[in-house]
Amino acid sequence: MGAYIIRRILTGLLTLLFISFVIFALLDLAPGDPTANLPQSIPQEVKARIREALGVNDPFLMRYMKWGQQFLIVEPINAIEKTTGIAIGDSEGRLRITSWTSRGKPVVDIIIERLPQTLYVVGMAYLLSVLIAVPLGIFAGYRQNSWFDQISSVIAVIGFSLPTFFTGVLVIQIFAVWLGWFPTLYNTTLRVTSMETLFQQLRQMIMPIMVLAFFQMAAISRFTRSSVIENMKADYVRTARSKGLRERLVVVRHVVRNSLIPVVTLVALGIPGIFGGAIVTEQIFNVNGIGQLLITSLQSNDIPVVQTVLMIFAVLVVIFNLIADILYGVLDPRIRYS
Amino acid sequence: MSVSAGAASPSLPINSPKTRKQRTLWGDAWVQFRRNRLAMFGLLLLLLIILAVLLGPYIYRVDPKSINIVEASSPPSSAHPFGTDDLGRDMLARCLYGGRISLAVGFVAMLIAMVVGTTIGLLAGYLPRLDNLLMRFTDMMLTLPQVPLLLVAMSLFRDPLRMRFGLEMGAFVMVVTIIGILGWMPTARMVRGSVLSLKRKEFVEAAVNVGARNGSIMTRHILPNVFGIITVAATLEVATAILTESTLSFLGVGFPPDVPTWGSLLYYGRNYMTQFPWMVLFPGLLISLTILAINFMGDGLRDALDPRQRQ
Repeated sequence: MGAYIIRRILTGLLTLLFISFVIFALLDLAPGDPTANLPQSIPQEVKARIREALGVNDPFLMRYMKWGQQFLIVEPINAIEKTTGIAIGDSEGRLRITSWTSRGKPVVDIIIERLPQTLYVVGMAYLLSVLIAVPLGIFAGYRQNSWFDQISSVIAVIGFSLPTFFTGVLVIQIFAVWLGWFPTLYNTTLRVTSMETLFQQLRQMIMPIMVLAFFQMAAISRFTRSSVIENMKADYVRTARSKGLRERLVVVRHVVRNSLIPVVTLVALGIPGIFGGAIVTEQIFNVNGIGQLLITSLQSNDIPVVQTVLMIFAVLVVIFNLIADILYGVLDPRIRYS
Repeated sequence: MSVSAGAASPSLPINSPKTRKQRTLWGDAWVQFRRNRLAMFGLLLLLLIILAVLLGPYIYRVDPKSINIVEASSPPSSAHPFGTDDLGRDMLARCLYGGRISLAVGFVAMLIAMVVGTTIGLLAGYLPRLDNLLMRFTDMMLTLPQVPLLLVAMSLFRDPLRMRFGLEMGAFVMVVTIIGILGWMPTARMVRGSVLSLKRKEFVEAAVNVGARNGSIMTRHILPNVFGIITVAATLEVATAILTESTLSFLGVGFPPDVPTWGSLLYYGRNYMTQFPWMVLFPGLLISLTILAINFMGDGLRDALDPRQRQ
């Protein structure tokens, strides 16, 4: 098991290196100028010196290394400092990745401000969809071709065929405009301080969560269903039945347990993907999370913010891939030894 | 196709005096496909949409770009079945015109993804020397955060390409290439898996023994046999590509709002949603129906081409 984990971690690091290179190179090719947003009155020579100081003219590899050092060493220390309040070394002297537009505010601080909004909405939606989809998939797979199975299959196909940007728009129109149950706009300045504000927060979260969860539920329940169907045909199920085990035990102890192994990895692998999917949802409902930050920084050509957000997505992908691999190895011994 | 499944030998005239009609893999698959009601529904719906989009503009002769302020934002009526937008442009004409672009993006991006995916999968599966390298590369490509990366690539390369190919063509080239380049990995994996098992079959061994070269074994003996898998992957990839295009346009980085595609119509109409819901309802409905039809069809195809599912 140790060797397996080490091998996985090494692959993960290599992947991270590859992704960071792709992201850096892609953004480096982009036509962008850190001084573009400065006032016109600043003379050209001063702008040239600012660019020089920001290191725009350094060779490509040099800039890549500098950025890597900042991203992997300096900023994590800052993040720890900010969350725990413990000062580590010379916290003022460290060079930070700063935004080109938000008056030179450090990028990581901006992201930390935005993160909770994304996590509430996206996290809740994912949790909800897993909790509903897995039992649904198990039941549909166990009763293959029953009317329940057929209806839930059709709904699942509809679920991942309807794009979230359409269901979102539809849901707003129906529930917010016509029925008036929920607010049309997400109030981003709302602070949860009392029962009343908590209730308000929940009320405005319902629509985005509904839209996201419906989309994700479809994929998870279909996957669970096919996994259960495959296991229902397995020899060990016939053995369990023929030794006289009650049907309940056959299903709960044998079929479900084995069918959930691939589902667990799918769920782990899907976590970074939902941040990508949340970009659209955040845009529709005006949730000021990470996804919206990415879009606004792209529009204002704020390269450092874009780079950092993309890198965070990449790190998440690699970490959850690793978790999925290790979980798979723990749950299914055949994987470890192959 | 070169594969014939279960053709009865003609020397056994037990209960049929006449020779039986020859059966092929694709013939069998079609019989199977026709039994699946949802899949047939998907196929017919898709054909209907394609026909409407291709022939519609010749029958419904309204210019999608002509502005008519007098009739601005009018709800669906007999003169404008889908209503008009805030500048009085006819929504039905815009949806039909936009559908051409959306469907074209889907098909071309699918072709790119299939060519790249099949080539890499075939090479990795057949040549053990390349296998590890190509598959590690595929895995790494799979871990790239797709949607964010697409967003970035689109907004960065939009202007240079627009200068080169013009407004509409530039956006088309960029959207199609980027979706294709980020969409080939699942196909490559599936093709590789299938090639690995086909490689050990007797007919490949026979081809090796008569001295066929690697290139011709791959293209003439193995490729026709992975065609079923490629067909299913291609169908689903069209749906993914259409969805991705409309997502990008919806976020404002795909096609610009003055080039109507289903996604950009939705992006444009979003601001008017509460007053004039038909501006978002119809493009959104068309995207959803198209993707739904393709997905139903893809599911049916997968079942039809999988011999284990035959009854």
